[in-house]
Amino acid sequence: MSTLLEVKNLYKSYGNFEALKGISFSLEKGEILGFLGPNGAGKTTTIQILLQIITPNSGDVTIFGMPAFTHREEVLQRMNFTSAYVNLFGALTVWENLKVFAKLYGLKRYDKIHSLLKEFEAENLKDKKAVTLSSGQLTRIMVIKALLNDPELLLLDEPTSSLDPDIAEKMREILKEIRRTRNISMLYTSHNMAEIEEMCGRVIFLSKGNIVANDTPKKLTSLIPDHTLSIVFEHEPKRLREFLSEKNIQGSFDGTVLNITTDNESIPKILGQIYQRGDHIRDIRIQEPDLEDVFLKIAREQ
Amino acid sequence: MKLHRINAIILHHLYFWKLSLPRWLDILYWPIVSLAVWGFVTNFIRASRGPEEGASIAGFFLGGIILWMLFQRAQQDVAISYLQDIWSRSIVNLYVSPLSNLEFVIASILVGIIKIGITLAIMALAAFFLYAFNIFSVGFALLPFVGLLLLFGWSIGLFVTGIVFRYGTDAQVLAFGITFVLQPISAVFYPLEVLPAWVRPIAHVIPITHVFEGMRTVLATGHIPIDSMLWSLGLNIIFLFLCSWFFMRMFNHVKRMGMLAKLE
Repeated sequence: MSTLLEVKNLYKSYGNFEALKGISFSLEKGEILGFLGPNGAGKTTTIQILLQIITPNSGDVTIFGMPAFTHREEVLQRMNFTSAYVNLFGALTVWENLKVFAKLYGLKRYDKIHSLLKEFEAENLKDKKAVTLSSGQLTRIMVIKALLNDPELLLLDEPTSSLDPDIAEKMREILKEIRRTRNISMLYTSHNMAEIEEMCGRVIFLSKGNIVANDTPKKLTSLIPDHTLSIVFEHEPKRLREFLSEKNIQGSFDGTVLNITTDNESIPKILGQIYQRGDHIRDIRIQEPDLEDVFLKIAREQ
Repeated sequence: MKLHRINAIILHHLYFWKLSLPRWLDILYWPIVSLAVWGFVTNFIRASRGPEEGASIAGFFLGGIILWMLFQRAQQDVAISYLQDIWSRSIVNLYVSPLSNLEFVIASILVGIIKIGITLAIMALAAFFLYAFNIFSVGFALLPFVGLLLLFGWSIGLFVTGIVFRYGTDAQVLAFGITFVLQPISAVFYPLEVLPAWVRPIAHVIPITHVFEGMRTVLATGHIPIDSMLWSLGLNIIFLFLCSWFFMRMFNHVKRMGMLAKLE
């Protein structure tokens, strides 16, 4: 894989507030990189610097092998952006909006608009004024706008935040398909951890302007050894608390459910010990740590 | 600079314009109302001063208001082009594309010229049929006069847009009102000598003062005052440079402050 985007020592401050404290990262061709972090972590600032609507104090950004700040036109021609927080021209119809953006990116014919409207099942929206679109419809049209110029790099700022779950799922499928067939690189921010885990090959955690973790979702979740073992009993077992205390197992009861937080390796041993007591067990559930746990851990540590 | 991006913004403005009744009214309503008011004033003056002197003064007023509306239109075309995208929270979509400020301004000016042409035609026809005043009696001098007015209008439009970038839409009232600050001191309807002595130096550095003075000279004597035009051109070049510099400074300030995406 070749490097499409390289950010080095990016620093941005607003007065005394340091929004980015010299972050460095890269994005490979065809990769989907997730950006996670609490509010104010610096995600949007980073994206807006890459889009050149915020000027950093210092640092280098290289996109498509070019210094981005001295090759603005060439770089922006080959990338695009969509966000839940940016609108189309409200007074114009969807078709007129897309035609203006198509022209902005130098498209000479409008077949592309038709094919994207079809792909996103939005042909029925083309004569509607943008201001009358629902959030979900607007999000779809914004993604169509972002694909008009066949971008090599797509910046997606919470692209599914205002969508119904079924449409969000569809949107994710479309984005994955686009990435697979067109080999587009994507930088993806979302507050939905499961979505980031599903979409991204690599995740960067930002906190207070620093990159605090940068790895695959699997490796990041392995940072948290704790699994939650839940055992559902038929009836509340007698003297189980004493038994757990004797075996030095930390657990909490919620009715007939025993929840034990432990590492992955200890689970078979604990289960064996409890099973040998002969209590009637109705269900056993093991919950692995996910990105949300990583996020919470990092947020608490910071 | 790319032609296709200028075309895109022209199309963008034309779509806005086509769909908007208030924008059509803006082109038609205010010029007609202003002309009507000054037309009635000139009728009154004609009646009280006699046909010869009255006609001369009427020419000053009607010529003044027609040229003034063209200047005002030019200023608003630039400033409101930006404002309409700020209002609709779509300006970020433009700036994340390869579009440059120069391309946006050129497109806004080109669309503005069409609107100004329509405004001029309507006002000229109305003045001729309602008040028997022919703005084209100024002759060939009308062309450079209009050019100089538009140039200053675009400069002030850039200045106002710079302020809107810096202070947000709280400052948008300037887009509609700044020309009225200039009106009393740029001798639109009366000769420069009418102004108090301390105001005259200020009036002298406003490029359009020389245009209105020039127009009155042409109407009164038939002589084209080349020196007035050259003064106006020189001042216009200085203002265009200063206003463009101010606009870019404010734009870069907004980018440094991270406020471009938050403008509303």
